[in-house]
Amino acid sequence: METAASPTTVPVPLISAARVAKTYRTVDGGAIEALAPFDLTVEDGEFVCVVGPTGCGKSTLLRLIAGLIEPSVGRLTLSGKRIAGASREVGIVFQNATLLPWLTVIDNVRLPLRVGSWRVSNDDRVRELLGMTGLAGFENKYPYELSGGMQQRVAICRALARDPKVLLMDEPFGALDALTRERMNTELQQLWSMSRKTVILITHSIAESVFLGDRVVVMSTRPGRIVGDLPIALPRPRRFETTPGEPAYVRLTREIRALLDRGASAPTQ
Amino acid sequence: MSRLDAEDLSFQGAGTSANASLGAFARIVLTIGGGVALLLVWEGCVDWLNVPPYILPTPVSVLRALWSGLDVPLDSPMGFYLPIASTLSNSVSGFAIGALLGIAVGSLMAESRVVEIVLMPYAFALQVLPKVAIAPLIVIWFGFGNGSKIAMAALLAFFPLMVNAFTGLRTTEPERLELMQALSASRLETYRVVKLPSAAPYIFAGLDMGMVYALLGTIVAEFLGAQQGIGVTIVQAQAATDVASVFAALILLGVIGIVLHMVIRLCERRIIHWTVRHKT
Ligand SMILES: Nc1ncnc2c1ncn2[C@@H]1O[C@H](COP(=O)(O)OP(=O)(O)O)[C@@H](O)[C@H]1O
Ligand SMILES: [Mg+2]
Repeated sequence: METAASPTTVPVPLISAARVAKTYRTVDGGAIEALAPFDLTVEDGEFVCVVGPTGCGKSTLLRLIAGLIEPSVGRLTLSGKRIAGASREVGIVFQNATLLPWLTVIDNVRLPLRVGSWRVSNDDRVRELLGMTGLAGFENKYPYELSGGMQQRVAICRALARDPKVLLMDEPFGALDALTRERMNTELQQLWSMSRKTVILITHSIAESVFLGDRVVVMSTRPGRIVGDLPIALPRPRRFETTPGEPAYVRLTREIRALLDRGASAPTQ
Repeated sequence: MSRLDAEDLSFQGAGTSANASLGAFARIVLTIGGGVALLLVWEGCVDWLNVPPYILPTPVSVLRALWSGLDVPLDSPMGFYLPIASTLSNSVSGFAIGALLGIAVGSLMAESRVVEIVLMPYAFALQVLPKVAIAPLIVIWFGFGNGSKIAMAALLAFFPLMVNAFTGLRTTEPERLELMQALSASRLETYRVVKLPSAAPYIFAGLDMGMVYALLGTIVAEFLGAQQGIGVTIVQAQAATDVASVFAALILLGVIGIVLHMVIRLCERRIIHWTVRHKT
């Protein structure tokens, strides 16, 4: 109502959370405080990584931004408008690729264009995405014929099919082996720098967060609080051959580890 | 059934490795050899102990009865072909009706809490009721013609499909539902695109069971009175103390059951290819 009328003149952050908290109600009437009240803003085009121990509410944070759940208190906006339900401006990649095994690669990527209220047919875009992620030639394969890394690439294409502003990723490479993971990180950085999407990536790998992020948001154990928000000023493109050797990289990983340790009653990682 | 499974395995393993197919071949030889040995022992015992043929016929006389029913024109009233056609068409029609209704009601129960709360207790009560006990009622309602056979087959096929469709739809992976929510898919889209395919393995298990039950339902209805069908053949042969013909009809029933089972398994393998690959 207030800023939505003139979003171009007033600098509104793409995503803004003000005193947002989430408490789950359990079936037996109990309450689980997943996220303590927090503030967070994300600017258009930023790559934000969120690290925190398991169960600290990282997925909850992502589900809030995706409009899959509502905050218990606080105000959460996307482009100045309160988030209410899923938006076509948000694409999401889940931890398990969550591909539909009865659909071919290309049909999985087309899924967002076939359901919901933004149904369009745009095969050029789908093929362009498949090409960009190295999936050309795999269009008619089934997910079970692909490796874990390939499956996650399909999931990324699917999340980008509607050309959203924001790409949310929930520990997308957690299940991959270390080498595949590094390759996926490099590819994701490239994809991001070409497409200029806003990315929020959740991980529990400190190395991954520093390698990819413009910023790293550090969370405490449950109920999750933001205990640190560090800018990562490493030059891009970052490379696994050189970046981890830079003094700034070493200092940042140490700093994040210290923040995680402080935010945890139990040791993390 | 176990014989059939062995064949299924050999079918899958064909061409994978010489060792595996040799094992499967040996298994088939053993199965057939065991069957032949059993028949020989049976023949020997009946001869030896002088069992009268109206108690237990010899395998040879069973085969003779089987052959005399098959070695006739297709439309001969003395042959097995007309009863087979009648039983088969009634049980398959009843199966189709019962399966569709079962999937429909199971889907409504899975999708709507209200329908679930209203129907679930009755569904459970009917499930524990031995449904063949309803057969006399069905005959009163649908008469001695094809109607009662189809109705009985549909009734028996209905329950496994209702239960399996319900269970399958309800156990859809929550991640897949969350994906559909993130895409703002409608309920119908979610049902059609995600839930139904997710439930397909359950539904096929139900179809497999339902087909056997449908055949059972048809035979039971035929026992209670009918002009035609394998059940009628059995009752007539029994009345004439032609036990060899009873056995022949039972063999035919077994073959029909196996063929129907294999048809469903073949459809399953074609349609839900992804689960088959997942397991291996
Ligand atoms: N739907 C839910 N109902 C109740 N509790 C939940 C629900 N989802 C998550 N939780 C709880 O909230 C906490 C945070 O969960 P989550 O956001 O998934 O953590 P993370 O992704 O950081 O591992 C956990 O303790 C989890 O058990
Ligand atoms: Mg999580």
